[in-house]
Formats: sequence, structure tokens, C-alpha cells
Amino acid sequence: MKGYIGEFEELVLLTVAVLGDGAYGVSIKEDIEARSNRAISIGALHSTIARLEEKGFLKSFLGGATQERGGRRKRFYQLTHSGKAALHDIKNLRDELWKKSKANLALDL
Amino acid sequence: MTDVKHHPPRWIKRIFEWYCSPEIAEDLLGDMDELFYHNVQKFSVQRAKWKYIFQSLALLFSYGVKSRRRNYYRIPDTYHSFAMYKSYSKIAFRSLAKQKVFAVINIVCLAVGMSVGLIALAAWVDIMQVDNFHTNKERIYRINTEVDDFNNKRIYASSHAPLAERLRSEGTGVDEVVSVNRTFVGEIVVASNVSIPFEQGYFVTPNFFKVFNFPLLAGNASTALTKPFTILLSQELAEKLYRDGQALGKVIEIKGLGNFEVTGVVATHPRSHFFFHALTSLGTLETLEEQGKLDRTLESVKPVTRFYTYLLLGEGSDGESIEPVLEQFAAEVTNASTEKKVAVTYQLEQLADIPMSETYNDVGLSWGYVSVMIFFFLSALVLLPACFNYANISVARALKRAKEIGLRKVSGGESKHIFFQMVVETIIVSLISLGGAMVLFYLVRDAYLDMIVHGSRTFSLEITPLTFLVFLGFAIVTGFIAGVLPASYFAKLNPIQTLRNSSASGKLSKVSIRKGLIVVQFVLSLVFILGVSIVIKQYRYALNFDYGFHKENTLNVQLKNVSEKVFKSEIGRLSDVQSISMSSFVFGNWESSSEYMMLPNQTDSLEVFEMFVDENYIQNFDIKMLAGVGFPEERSGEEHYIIVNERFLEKTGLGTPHEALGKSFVFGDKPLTIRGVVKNFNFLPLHDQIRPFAFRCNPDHFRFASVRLRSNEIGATLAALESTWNRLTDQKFEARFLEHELEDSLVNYKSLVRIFGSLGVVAVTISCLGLLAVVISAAESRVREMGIRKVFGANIISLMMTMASGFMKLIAIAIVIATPLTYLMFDAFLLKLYVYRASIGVLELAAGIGLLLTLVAIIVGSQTFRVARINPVDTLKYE
Repeated sequence: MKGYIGEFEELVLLTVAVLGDGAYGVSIKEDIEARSNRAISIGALHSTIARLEEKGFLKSFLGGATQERGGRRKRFYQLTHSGKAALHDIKNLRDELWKKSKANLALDL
Repeated sequence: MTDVKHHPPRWIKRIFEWYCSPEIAEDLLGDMDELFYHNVQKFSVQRAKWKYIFQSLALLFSYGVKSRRRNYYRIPDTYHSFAMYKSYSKIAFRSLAKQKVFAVINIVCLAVGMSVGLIALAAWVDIMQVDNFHTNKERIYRINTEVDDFNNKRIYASSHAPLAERLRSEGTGVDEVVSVNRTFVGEIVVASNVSIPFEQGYFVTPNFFKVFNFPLLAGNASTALTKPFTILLSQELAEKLYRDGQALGKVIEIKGLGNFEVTGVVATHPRSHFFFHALTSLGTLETLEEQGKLDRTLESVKPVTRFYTYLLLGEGSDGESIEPVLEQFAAEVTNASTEKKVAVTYQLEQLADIPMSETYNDVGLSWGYVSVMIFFFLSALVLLPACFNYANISVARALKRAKEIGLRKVSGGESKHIFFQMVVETIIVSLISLGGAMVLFYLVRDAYLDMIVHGSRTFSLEITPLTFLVFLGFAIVTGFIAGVLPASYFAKLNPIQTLRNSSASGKLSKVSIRKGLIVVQFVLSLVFILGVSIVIKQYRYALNFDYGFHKENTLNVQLKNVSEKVFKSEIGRLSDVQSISMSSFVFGNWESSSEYMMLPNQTDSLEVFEMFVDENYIQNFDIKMLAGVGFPEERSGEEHYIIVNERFLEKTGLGTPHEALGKSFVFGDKPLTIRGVVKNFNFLPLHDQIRPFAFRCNPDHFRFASVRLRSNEIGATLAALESTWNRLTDQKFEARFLEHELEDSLVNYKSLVRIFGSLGVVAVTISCLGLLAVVISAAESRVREMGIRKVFGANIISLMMTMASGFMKLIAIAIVIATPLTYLMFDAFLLKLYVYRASIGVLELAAGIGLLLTLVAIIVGSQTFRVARINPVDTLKYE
């Protein structure tokens, strides 16, 4: 399997997928923070995004000028095909593992 | 929704922008801002700021920024490419062409200002080139003598002849010791009663040419000076003597000294601090002294001599090894003078430092650090207003350029690009001005050389490739200085404002800076004008100064070989001659000699100036006697008497004039008795105090006869004098009027007046042209306002007042600043140099101010009148 992705990388890729057209630095950060209830630094986020871009899982483009952030443009992110494929791969792996270990994973109620 | 009251800390943003260029960090900065505003709403402002800082730092060190920086390829800046330069210069020429009046004013001002700077620079280059042609110039040193008579210290370029001998035998680390004596002057006999004088020649040791590489046109440098009574002539003198300049091997007779064989001709050479027409060996001087044809000086250890010692130090030696010898000898010289209490020390001076050093008793030419620096300072003072003008005019015209700049900025020009463009534009203007400045430089060069004493000898002011390069650099620097202010102003322009409406002029005019510049300019002009009038007054004052002796109708004749008696009897017969007296020097050339004498307390010594005169002298010059009588008519063989001035009595404490009569003391190795006391008179130039002075009577020293004439028919009398003289001797008749001599001694004043005057004219021209440009542009921008005022009933006078009042206020401020400034400056600095000086009067100040006011009134009046007269219909028809 090419392109191993880590846990946080997976989280970022999925969040980008969730946000669709509105995925840029702040929205990704806030979305992850809201869902996972953990504080992430913008530095860590952009580092991860940079790695994902290098691996070819994400692509980006600059949006139009904005009012609220001093006129600075946003950089929007999109999943690439290989990004989607990587997510599918990891999901398949997980599903398979879940299926096989279902009996042992039962929570004691 | 964003809370615009609070902003993220700016400094961290700056750091961020500095670390990664805006292109790669735009979205990151945006993200940070957005987070900050969210945080401001959630937490306190302070906390939001802290978070911002932490986030920024985290981001700065993150892999995200690192990878972006790594992958970012910056497109090289195009504003240094040739195409941009081409565009800038094209625009520069177009905008110059568009504003012809202002372009002409700018270029003329800069050219005039720069021409003065060019003179200063060319002079500086000249000085730097002095003595540059000697192969071992780094190792050549001169020994200077510092003489401390416990009143003041003076550094003389000369040193003692025996010192050179000592160094030759004991000095280590010294390759060559060259002695130079500058008393070799004389007249070369060409025919029975025709002789050609040369004013400066040196006796030198034979190794002179080993150390100094003066090029020889003919002769052998290594053998030319080995034999006594051989002479090397300068090319100039050789050509004067022999039309073809072929002097080698010829024998010439120098009057009073003997026959010399010409063993070489020194070619015209680059400038050196040596200045000579003839060289002969030091051995010749020895022989001449032995023969009694010249005074004995070779053994002399008087503090000041006519000998100069040059050393060629050994490779790698710094002269420290000879310090003990110098110290030892200095101590000997100090001790040798028992009655003249002075301390002598020696100093080494590198050859390259000689032209700019301030030494007394120079061997040849001298330049002087102080005067060069003053001239540099003054030319900077003239150039500065020209630069101000440029800045002033371009900012005043900013309105015309604002749109262009705005457009440039909108289409991507950054501030630094605009700055660069404007500076390039100014440099282009200053390069054009350089052309004009060089034309002016050629025109005024000779006049300038005339202004300074010995100018054509000390400076050539020729334009060599080197000077041209210096000029180019100077023009570029000038352009930069002139352009910095307008360029940074244009760089800051806000494109939105300039493009939206052109009437944002209130903000555009940068009024305060411009006003400041105008004031500074006029302060400078006024300082020059007032300075000139003060110096002129001082000059007039000195011309009419009462020196304390009679100076009209007195002719000083060089005695030469005519004896005193013959002169008196023959010349005295002429009807217009009133009286004749003899002296050792004349007033005006100030060549007085001095002796040191012990004061009665036996511890201190006093420098007393002396003059040898005959019994008629004091009467002849109307010098007032306070007590006693003049020298006796009958001279016995020995000298017995002395006549002193009041200052002498003051310093020696010999009491009142009457008490001092008859007192005796040793003076100049002789016991002398005071026979009379004269009132103080100025026997030294006016920048000196009246010093202790003594008249002595010794006919051996007489060199001049002063003939007082009755004041009718001066021309005829002169002719009669000369024909009588020619009967007495075959020497040339050389006579000068005392008044002319005194006037000549004011030559420094004269050159000061002329230099100051010409710089003043330049400064005033520049300031007035600058004012003209500013007034024109101000008047133009108020044409409509004036039209409206006129429609409402204002008359021409009141309109003119409205426009002119602002400028007049500025001029008034300039006057208020400049007047006391000039007064203090001249009072404290320039005129302090002169002990006897004119006071600075109200009249000079008023005249200078009046002159400036008239000029300003003409400039402002003419332009405001032009605008005020315009028919309002023409200016208002578009409203």
C-alpha cells in the first residue's frame, strides 16, 4: 500500500472532505477542534497540510479577496483522487480488521 | 463583525513578513488574523494577542512554512534590468520636457552649485597627487622641528643641518638622509648688464635624486651633484636661458656666487611640495660659506633654520630606531641656547602628509589643511541650497506627477521601485547638470586660480580621467542627496488618493518641509551676503588702518650693492626727495627678524623683534617718540644704543619710558643702552598683536632705502630716481611704494573677499532661482482662487499681498535666524584671527538684508503681479 497516512493526517483529509468547498486553514482547524474536542495549533495543522500536499493527497488554490481578514485571500484545499483512494484504502483496512475482531472487541456492558 | 478596534501585534507580523515573502504567507497571515478576531470575541484582547504571538511562532517554526519556503521560487526583481533603466530615463526626459521652466531652473541651479564643488574636488585630487611620483614614497619622511618658547608651540618644516650629519653616522634603519637648504637664490648673468633671476633653488646632498625621482631631461641623476659648483636647472629656467633648452655642459655665472657648470636639466614634473628652479650640491654651500660669500649657517642650531632633512627609511623600518638619536640631538639643541629658552623636539612626517600639514617655514609649496577644509565646507554650503531647490521644486510639482505614481503603484510598483525611479531621475538631472557644471568649471578655473595666492603653482585643476571619475561619482552622490527627499515622498504616496481626485493637494504639498528648506536656503544666502560685506569692511579698515607710521609717498628701494653713503648723497640731490632713511626690512613684507633675550629675572626669555635702521628712520616715518632721542648722527664702529617700543617696556618691566632711558642689557650678544622709547606701532600684519620691538643701528644689515617724496610729479621723480640709480650700479632698480607693499600684504583679505564674494553670488543666485520656481508653482496653483477673489472685489494690491505674505514671512524668519548667526560666526571665528579689526556695524547688516529683500521682492512681486492681473473670466470659465 503506497502512501501511509497517520491518524491526524486522516483526520485532516476527512475534514477537508466534510467541509467541501469551504475547506481552508481556519475552518479545518475549528471543525477538527469542535468534533474531536482537542486544541490544535495552526502550525501543526499547516505542517500536516504541507505533508499531505507533498504526498499528493491534497491540492490547493487561492480564493478571492476577503473583507474580514485584511483583504487577504484564503487558500482552499481539495482532496485529490489519490487522496480519496488513500482514505478508501485505510477505511477498507479498518473495516476488514473490524470484521475480523468483532468478537473480541465487544464492550463489556 | 470584526472588531476593528483591536489589531494583532504588529511586530510579530513584521517578523513574519520578513521571514517569508507575502506571496507565500498571505493565506497564513489571513488565517492568523481571522483566528485573532475570533479569539478577541471569545477571550480578552490581551489573551488573544498572546495566542496570536504563540500561534505565529509555532507557525514560523513549523514544517508548513519551511516547505513553502523551500518550494517557493521568487521571480527575480525586474526593476534593476536594463529595460527598466531605459524606461526610467525615458520618463525622466519626458517629464523634464513637460516642465521646461522648472527643468531649466533645476539644471542651472545644480550646475552652478556643482561647479563650485568641482573646483573643490579637482583641488583635492591635485593635492592627493602631490609627490606621488617618487618610487619609494611610502618610506620617505621629513623631520619637522617643534619649537616651544613657552608661549606658543610652532611646528617648523625645517630642522638642523648637524642633525642630518648625526643621523648619517648614528641612525640605524635609515637608508638615505637628504639635506636640503632653500637659500639658493640668485641672478644668472647672461650679458654684461642683463641677468635672469631665479627666485627659488635648493642646495641638496648628492643623494637627492636617489630618494626623490624628479625626471631629468638631460644629465645623469647619480653624478649630477657629486662635484661642487655644478647646477641643475629646471626645464623652465633652461628654456629661459637657452632658446633650445640645451643647457647641459654650459657654464653659467651666478652673481656674487661664482661660476657653475650645468650638469642636468630637471624636466617639468608632476606637482611636488618642492618648488625650485635650480639645484646645486650642499658642498657648494660649504665652499661659499668658507669663502664668506654667504652667512655661516651650516653649524647653526638656532631654533629655526633654512635646512630641511628628509629620510629614506629602510625597508620595514618605522623610524623608531632613530628616536633616541633625535631625542638626544633635540636635548643638545635645547641646551645649546642658554639665553633663548626654547624647547626643541623633532617629529617625523610622512611624505604623503606634507601637503596637508600646517607647518611654518615651508620648503616650497604649501597647501594647508585648514584652508582646504574651509573651502570644502563653503562649497558644500553652496551645493546644499541647489539640492534643496531640486527637492523643493519636485515636491511642489508633485501634483503633476501624482497620477503617474498612483498608476504605477496600482499596476504593481512597490514603494522601493518608485523610490528608485525617482532617485534615478534625479541622478539623470544631476548628470545633465554635470555637463553644465564642467563648462562653468572651465570658465571660472583660471579666475579661481588667480584668487588664491600662488594658485597656479599649487593647483592645476586639470581634468584628468581620474578627476573625471571623481566628478561622475560626485554627480551621482549629489543626485542621490537631492533626490532622496522627493523620492521618499513619492514612494509614500497613496495610490487611491492620487487617482480618486487630484485636488488632494493640501496633503500633497508637504508644506512644512518646503518652508523649512526655503528658510534654510535664505539663511545660507544671507550668511554669505553679510559675510562678504563684513569682510569687505575689514579689508577697507585694514587699507586705511593707522599703523602708527607714515605710509604715503614713501618709496622703498632695494639697496643691492649701492652703498648707503653713495645712495644718500646721489639720490638726496633730487629735488623731490624729502628725506632718505635706511633699514633692514620694510613694512608690508613683514620679514622681520627676532632675537631672544633674557628677562631681568634671569629665568624667562622674551622674543623681541628687531629692525636695523639709520638715524633718520624714525623721523622719516613719523614714528612717535615718547622719551629719549633717536640714534646719533655720528656712528662709531660699535653698536651702543637701542630704541624700544612701549610693549617692550611692558614685557620687560623696565618701567615708564622715562625711567627706562639709559638702562642697559645684553641683546643679541651685545650690551646695549636704551636711548629712546617709541609709541607702539604695527610692524607685524594686522592679525598679529603688537610685539616687543627694538630698533638697532647697524649699517651692515641695511638692505632697503626708504625715500620719502614730495607728492608732486611722482612719475617724473621715479624716472629721475631710476636714471640716477643706473649711474650708480649695473644692478636692476627695484623699488616699491610702501602703500603698495602694505596693500599686497592684504592679499589674503583680497582673496577672501573674492572667494567669499563669488560664492555669495552663487548662493544667492541659486536661492533666488529656487524661490522663483516655488513662487511660480504656488502662484499657478492659486490662479482660480485669485479669480474668485477678484470677482468678489479684491484689487490687485490686496491679491498680491495675499499671495506674497507667506513668502515674506519665510524671508523674515530667515533674516531673524541669519543675522545673529552671521554676527556670532564672524565675531567668534573669522575676525578673531585678526587682532586689529573693524567692528561689525549695523550698516553692513542692513545693506545685506536690504539687498536680499530687494531681490525677493522682485521675484515674488513679478510672479504675484502676473497672476493677480489675469482676467478672472479666463480662469473661471470652466466653473
